[in-house]
Amino acid sequence: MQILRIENLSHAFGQLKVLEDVNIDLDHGKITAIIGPNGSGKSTLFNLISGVLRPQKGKIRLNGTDVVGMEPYIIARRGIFRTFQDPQPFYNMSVLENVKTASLLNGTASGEGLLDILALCNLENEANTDAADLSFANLRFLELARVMAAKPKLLLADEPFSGLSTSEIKLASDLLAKIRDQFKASILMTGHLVGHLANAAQDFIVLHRGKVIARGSVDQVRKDPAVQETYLGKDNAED
Amino acid sequence: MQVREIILSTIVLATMLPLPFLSSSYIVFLMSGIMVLALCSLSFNLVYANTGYLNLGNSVPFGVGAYTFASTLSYDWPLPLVLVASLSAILISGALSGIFIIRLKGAYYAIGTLALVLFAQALAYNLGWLTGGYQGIIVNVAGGSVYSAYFILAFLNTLLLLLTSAIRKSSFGYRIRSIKGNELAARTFGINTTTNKFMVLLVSSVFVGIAGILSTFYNGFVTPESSFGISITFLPIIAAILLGSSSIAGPLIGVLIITLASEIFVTTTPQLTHLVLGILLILVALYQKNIPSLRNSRLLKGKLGVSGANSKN
Repeated sequence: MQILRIENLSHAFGQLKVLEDVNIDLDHGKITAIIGPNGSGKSTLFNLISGVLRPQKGKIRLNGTDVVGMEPYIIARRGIFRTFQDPQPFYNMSVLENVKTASLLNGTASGEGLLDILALCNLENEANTDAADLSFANLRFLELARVMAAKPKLLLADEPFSGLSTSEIKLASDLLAKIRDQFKASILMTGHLVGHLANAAQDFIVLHRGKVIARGSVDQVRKDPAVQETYLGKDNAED
Repeated sequence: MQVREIILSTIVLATMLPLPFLSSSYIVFLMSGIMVLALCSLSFNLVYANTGYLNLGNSVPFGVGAYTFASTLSYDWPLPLVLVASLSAILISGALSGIFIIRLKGAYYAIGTLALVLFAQALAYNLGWLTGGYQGIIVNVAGGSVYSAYFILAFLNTLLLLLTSAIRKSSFGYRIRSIKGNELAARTFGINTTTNKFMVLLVSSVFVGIAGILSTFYNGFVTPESSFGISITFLPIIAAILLGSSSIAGPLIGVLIITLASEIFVTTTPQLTHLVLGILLILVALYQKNIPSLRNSRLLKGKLGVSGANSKN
C-alpha cells in the first residue's frame, strides 16, 4: 500500500482554481520532488495534506485512511510532518526547546538525542540561542531539526533549499536522505532549481497551474514536451 | 534564574507570615487585598505569558466564586457544601467561558473575554433574587476573619508560584508555550492547541475563583463593583505586564507596587487615585514595546503572520 494517495484533489481560493483534479501516489521510503513555477499550487498542496487547509474536493489517503477534514494535529499524530516555506519556529523558545517541543509527540526521549540532532543540522552552537535571533539559513536547518525530532513517516518539505548557499543545500540534501533512511520515511519536497533537487530526489512531479503535467525521473521530466513548453522553456530544456 | 525567583518569592512570603502577629489589622487587611490581586495577576500571567492570549475576563470566575459563596451562605448552607458549590460553579463557568472564547484569536479573544465580564456584570445587577442586585450580598461567616484569609492567601500564592514554575518545565508547559511561539507550527507538530489553551485557562480560572471566594470571606460582602469593577478586571493585568510578563514572580511585585501606590493616593488624595492608575496604564501601553516579553505577544502580532493559519499558502 502507498503511504500517500491523493485522488482528484481540487481546491480554489474564490474564483482562482489553485489545484484541479490532482492525483499523486507515493511509495514508502522515497524522496519525490514537486516542481513548478510560483503559483502552481505546491504550497497549497502541502497545506491540504497537512490539514492546514481543507480541500473542496477529493481524497487524501494516508496509509489507506482518508484524512480530509482532520485537524492538523491529528494528521501529525499519524506521522505526517512538514517544514514551511517561510520558516515557522516557536519564536519564544531557544533552538533546543524548539526541537524538544517537536519531539513531544513521538518521544525522542533524552536531551542528548536532541543535541545529536542539532549537531547533525549544524546547530550545536546555537542550542541556547533564541529562535527569533537565528540567521535565515539556521532557521531553515531548525525546520529540518524539528521534523527529525518528530520522527516522520511522511515528510512534506516546502522549499527546503530556498535561500541557502550551495554548501548549505548539500547539507540539507544529506539531512533529507538521512531522514528517509533513519525513519524509512517518504519525503515530498518542493523547489525551483531542478539541478539541486535532482541530487536529493529520484522521482519528479511537475505541477503547472494546479495540474500534474508530468511525472518521472529527472531526465524523463526534462524531455517531456509538455514540461518543456510550460515550465522549463524550450531553450533551457537541455541545460 | 527561575530558581532565584522562587527563592526570592519564598523569602517575601516568609517575611509576610509573621506579619499578622506583629502589626495592626489594617496592615493585614491591606496585605490580604494585595494577595487577592496577586493571585489574580499570577493566574492571568499563567495564560498570558505562556500562550500569548490576553484574557481580560478574569473577573468572571472571580465573581462567580464570590457570588456563589455569598449566595449559598445567605441561604444557610453548611460551609463544606458552600465550598463545594462555589468550586463547582467556578469550574462550570470556566468551562462555559472557555467554550465560548477558545476559538477566538488575537484582539478578538481579548474583546470576547471582556464581553463575558460585561455579561456577568449585567447578570449580577439584574438577577436580584440571587445576587442582591446593586446592594450585593452581605455575608457573615462563623469564625471567618481576615487573619485566616491572610494565611490561606499566602499559601495559595506560594502554591501558584510553584505550580507556574513546574508547568514551565513540564511537557504541558512546552505545549502551551508553543502556542505563543507559533500556533500554526504547534498544530502541525501534533499539539492540540485548543485543548491546551482550554486547560490552562481552566487552571487559571480556578485560582481566580478561589481568590473571589476568599475576598468575600474576609470583606464580608460582595457587590457587582467588588467583583467586576476596574480593580479586579484590570489591576491584575497592569500588574502582570508592568515588569514584563516573562518573569514568574513579576506579577507579585507588580501588584505590590500598584496597590501600595494606590493605597497612598486613596489615603491622601483619593480624587487622584484613578487618574494615577490611568496614567500608569497609558505608560505601560506606550512603552510595552520596550519590555522584551511583550514584543512577541499575540496582542501586538494579532492575526498577522504566525497565528493566521490560512493567511499563508
